[in-house]
Order: sequence, then C-alpha cells, then structure tokens
Amino acid sequence: MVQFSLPILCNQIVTGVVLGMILVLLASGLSLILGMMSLINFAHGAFYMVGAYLCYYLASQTGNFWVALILAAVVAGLVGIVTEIFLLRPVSEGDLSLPLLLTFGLVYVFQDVIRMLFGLVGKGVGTPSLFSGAYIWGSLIMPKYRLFIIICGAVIPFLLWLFMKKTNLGLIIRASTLDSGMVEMLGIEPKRIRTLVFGIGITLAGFAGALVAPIRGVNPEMGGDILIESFIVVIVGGIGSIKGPFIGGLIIGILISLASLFYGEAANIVIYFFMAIILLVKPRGLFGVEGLLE
Amino acid sequence: MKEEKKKGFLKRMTRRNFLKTAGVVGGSFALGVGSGGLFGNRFSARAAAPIEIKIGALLPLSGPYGIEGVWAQKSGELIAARYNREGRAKVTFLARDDKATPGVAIARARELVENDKVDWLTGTLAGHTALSVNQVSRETKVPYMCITQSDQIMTPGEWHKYMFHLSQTNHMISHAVASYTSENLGKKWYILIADYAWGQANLMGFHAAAKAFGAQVIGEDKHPLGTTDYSTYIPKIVAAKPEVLLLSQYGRDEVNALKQFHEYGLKKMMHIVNIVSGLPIMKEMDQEVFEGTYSGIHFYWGLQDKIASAKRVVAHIMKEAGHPPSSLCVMTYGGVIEIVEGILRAGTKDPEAVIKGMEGHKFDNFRGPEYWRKCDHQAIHNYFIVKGKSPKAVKGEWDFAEVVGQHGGEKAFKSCKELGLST
Repeated sequence: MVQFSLPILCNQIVTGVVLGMILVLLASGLSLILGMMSLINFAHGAFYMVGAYLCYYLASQTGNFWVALILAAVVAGLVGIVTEIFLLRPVSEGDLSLPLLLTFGLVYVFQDVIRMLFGLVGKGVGTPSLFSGAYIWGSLIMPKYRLFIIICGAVIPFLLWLFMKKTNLGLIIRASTLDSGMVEMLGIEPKRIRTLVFGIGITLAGFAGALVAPIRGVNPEMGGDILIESFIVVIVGGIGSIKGPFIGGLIIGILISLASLFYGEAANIVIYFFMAIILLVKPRGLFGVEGLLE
Repeated sequence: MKEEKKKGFLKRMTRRNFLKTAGVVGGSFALGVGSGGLFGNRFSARAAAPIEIKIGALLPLSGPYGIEGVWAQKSGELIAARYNREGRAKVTFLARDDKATPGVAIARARELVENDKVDWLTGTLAGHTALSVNQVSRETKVPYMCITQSDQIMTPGEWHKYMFHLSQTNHMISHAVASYTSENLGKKWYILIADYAWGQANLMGFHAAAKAFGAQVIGEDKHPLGTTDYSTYIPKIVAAKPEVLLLSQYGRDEVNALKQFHEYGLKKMMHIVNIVSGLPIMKEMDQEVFEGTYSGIHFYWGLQDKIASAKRVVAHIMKEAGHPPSSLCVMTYGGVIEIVEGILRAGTKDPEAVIKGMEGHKFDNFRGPEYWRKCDHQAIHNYFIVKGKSPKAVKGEWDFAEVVGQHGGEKAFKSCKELGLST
C-alpha cells in the first residue's frame, strides 16, 4: 500500500493549486456579476462550455490554439453582451426571480444549441505543442500546460483588480454598484455599466472554458458540476471582492486534492462541509464586501 | 374434326400469343405462385400473414449518454425494418427516453407495457435503469431482453425467468480484463474506480481476479462519479509504482481521466487499462490520448475482420446509419434478433413457449458463437480487449483501436450454483 510522505503531500498541494486556479478564473467572473449586478448567473457554466466549444471550433479552423484561446474568450464575451442587452435587461426591472429563471433557462438553450451545431459526441482539443509534456522534479510531476494555467490564474485576477481599482471605468463600476442613482445623475447610464460588467464576467467564463479544453473533455454538459464548485468558491471567498474568489479557489482546490489523498470518495463532499463551516463562522465569506446582497 | 381443332389452335397461337402465354406461365413460376421461386418466400409469407411483434426499448435518448441511446435506437429500427422488408415478421421497435434515470425508466417501461402493449422489453445503457425495467418485467410477465452489464440483475433477489441477459456481468468483464492484464501487462496493480454501484461491483471483480491470477493490488482509490479533474489522484498512483493502473470508468469520467493521465505522462510509467470503453467515448478523445491504453469492450467494429457475423452487422449499420456500430448498437440489434427469432421458432408470442425455446439455444448474431445458459438465461459469450492505435496508424474517421484479446466462455462467468440461480 502507498506510504504517505512529505513529497506526496507537496505533490498533492501543487495539484490542488492548479485545480484551484481553474476555479479562480471561473469564479472571478461569477463573483463580479453577482457582486456588481446582484445577479445569480446560473448560465455561467453554460458560457464556460460555450468558450470551450468556441476554442475547439476556432482551433480546428485556424490551426492555432493561441488564436482560438483569445478569440473564444472575446466571442463568448460578445455573446454575453448580446444576452444582457436583449434578454436580461428587459427583465432586470421586474421581479428578482425573473433574471434568475432566465439564466437557468439559458443553460438548456445553450446546451441544445451546442448539440445541434456540434452533435452529441463530445470534442477533444489537443494541448498546444509549446506546452506539451511535463517537468519532472524528483517525485513532482508538473505538466507544462498546467503551469501555464497557474500563470493565467494568477495574472488575470490581478489584471481585473488593477482594472477595478486603478481605472476610471473600474471606479464607475464600483460606484454604480453602491449607488446607481448617483452615477446616473452624473450622466452615466447604469444599464451600460451592467452590460459591461456582464460582458467582462462572461469573457472570463469563456476564457476559463477555452483554457481547460485541452485537459478536460469538451461536451455540452461540462458546465454543470464546475458551476456548483464555482458557487462554493464565491461563497467561501466572499461576494464583491476580487481576492475572495482567488483565495477561495485556492482553498477549495487544495481541499479537494488533500481529500483525494486521504479519502478519495469524500473529495466532493468535503468542500460542502467547509462551505457550511465558513458560513457559520463568517456569513459573508472570507473577504465578502459588507452591504452586497444583504 | 380433331385436325381442324388442332389447326385452329395452331392458327390462333400466333407468335405474339405464344409469348404472352409463356410470359404468364413463366412469370407465375418465377414469382412462386405455384411452387415457390425467386420471390417464393415473400409470397408464401404474404399468404400467411407475418407475426406482429412489438418491442419496447428503454434507452438514454438525451443527456450525457444521449449519443449512445440515439445510435442504439437507430440500430433497433434498422433490424426491425429488415424483418419487415423480408416479410418474416412485422416488427415494431418503439424507443423511449429513460434519461438514464431509474424513476423515468420504470414509468416509461410501464407505459410501453400498458399503453403500447409491447410483447418484449429491451434496453438499457445503465445497470440501475435495467433493474427498474426488470422490475416491470417481473410484475407484468412481459419478457425483458437486458442489454446492459449488471451483476445485481443476476442475483436471486432480482433475477426472474422472464429476463434474458445478453450483456456481461461485472464479474465477467473484470475477470476478462484482469486475465488479459495479468498475462500480458503485469501483476502489480493500482485500481481507480468511480465510486458507485457499478464501480464497486467491478472493484470486487478485480480483487477476485487478482486472487485467481496471482496479481497484487498495491493500492486503490475511489473517486466520485462525474469527477472532472483526476490530477489529485496522480501523485499517490505514481508513488505506488504499479505496473498497471486498472480503471473502472465509463463515459466522461474515462475521457477526463485518460486526458489527464496522458498529460502527466503516466503512460510512460505504467500500462493503463480501463474495464470498458465505447466508440462514442473514443471519438471524444484525441487519438494521442487514447494511444497505447487498453480497454475492455463489448464490441468493437474492427471485429469484422475476425468474425463473419460482426462483418454483416457492421456493413448493415454502416450503410444505413453512416457510422460503425457502438457496443449498445449491436446489443440492441442483436437483442431484437434474439427476440424475433425466438418467437418465430416458437411460432407463437406466448412468453412461456418462447422462453422454453430460447433456453440453451445457440446463436451467432454479432460477436461470434454464443448460447443462452438454461439455468439463468445468461448469454455465454466473449468479451474483447482493444488497444488504442497510434495517430499515425489510424485509417479513417472511426479507426481508433485494434483488438488484441478476448476472453469468455463458461469460465468467465459465475456458475448458476455460485449465483444461487436456477430455472
């Protein structure tokens, strides 16, 4: 039987960090939309799936994974903007449950559209040659592509933080969240801000989907499970902050990884327990912004 | 007078009249009006109306396994159409979406029996839905051709005489895969299974096979069904240094796991053997990922090079559906054949007579010679092992693997005594 040792434990933590970074990317967009628009976007996983399919399609058309990765995120973001303007905006003034139900319905719409366009069989996206293979340091194996994911998971939330904290547009978005009436009086249409926020959030979801396409199966149902994990990340990290999903994602990734080491069957359950404990101790999550969704 | 009559007859028998008469007489014989001929069977069958048979199939026509169900439905319809075309029986194949959910399967199966008045039930893809259909069959005494693998359905609590099990048991497939593995790949195993009834049953089978073949299980892990990232199981597996990583996964679990094991370079460190795979699953993977991995499989279309019946089925489905058959396709197809032929042999749809005629019957519909074991209605047959081809060796859209082994016969199945079953 396997002896637990320090190298195995270190390996496990590293694999957990990679897993966490994928969740960070998806949860960042989810948290942004939830915090800034007060919208629980059930379709976030579906947009993640759309990003993965766009990556597959564009990579097969252009033969270039990197072009596909960027374009997939951009096109997913545009789909998000169109969705916000034509579907979410008309129902945003009414009952709070309407946007919720709409995004729930969109999951099925996107899945079926993808099935019609790409068929029922899932698709495979190859790892880009630049990052194929793995680094091996002693007993630690680190696939090159996962290293790239770690870099993306660290850089993108940082860029998002810079955008939100250091640019005028970021300031307007934050102000709009706290007092949209005041922002409107200053001549800025809150509707446009909502569209922008939704577009950014969906771009991140699309990027996450495209990014994981080489390491996970691309299929119409791929957004389902990861959406739940992303919600847990947002709840644990706290709504409205950027470091919330980042720290939350890392914690959840490492927790799943360590649970796999000691008791594989519990790998999924342990994160729900952890979320329950966090909610009991810190109801807003670790870095939740006061006043949001309260 | 006679001469006149004869002359008159000859006079009337002009060249045109002769050709007309010859045409009618010859045509009648050719069409088999009298004694049969080129189309004799067809016309004789018309004379005695063909027996009408309604078969109700429970298949996952939507959701993650939708592709399997849709393909299987098409295969069932194709073989039904062939019978209808030949005129030997009038077969109606009704497929219903069980959504791979037991509750839905039981409701749809009841509808098929009560509303559509089907003569036989068949399906499903998943073991737990098969148990639901089996329950309806036991209650209504409408026979059930079970085409999915299950250990549980062959236990005294579930088994009944109206059920025929065309597919394998978990014990059989784990025995087959373990047999090939221990003989060809190594005897130091690490086992990773999806943690649900199917995986647990396979795990038991692997442990039993390890004892039987003198292999050593040096580690095992269970992952939740639907896990998307297997990287967290890899450090432990690598540290254990097994010769073989035995997997019990199917569908998206298999795709994700193999992708990530490839990514981490596990194929260079150990052999990877999955207990079961399927054509749509192989299609979802890059060939680079599937290359060099081993899988058990109910049926692979490449068997057409070795088995004549496989060649016939592959040609029929390929021509009509545009793709080679998956395992569930041929199970559905072969199940319909066994139902219809059983009824035709018995000359009646009465389940008691049909069942009696099927017990012990030998047949070869798609995977080589097999037979229905009388004591438990298990089809005694072979299970196959395939190895993923290198991308360079692939020829065409559906060429993913080569058949490298097969294992089966009575020795691969538990005996009726071991199962506690007997008709």
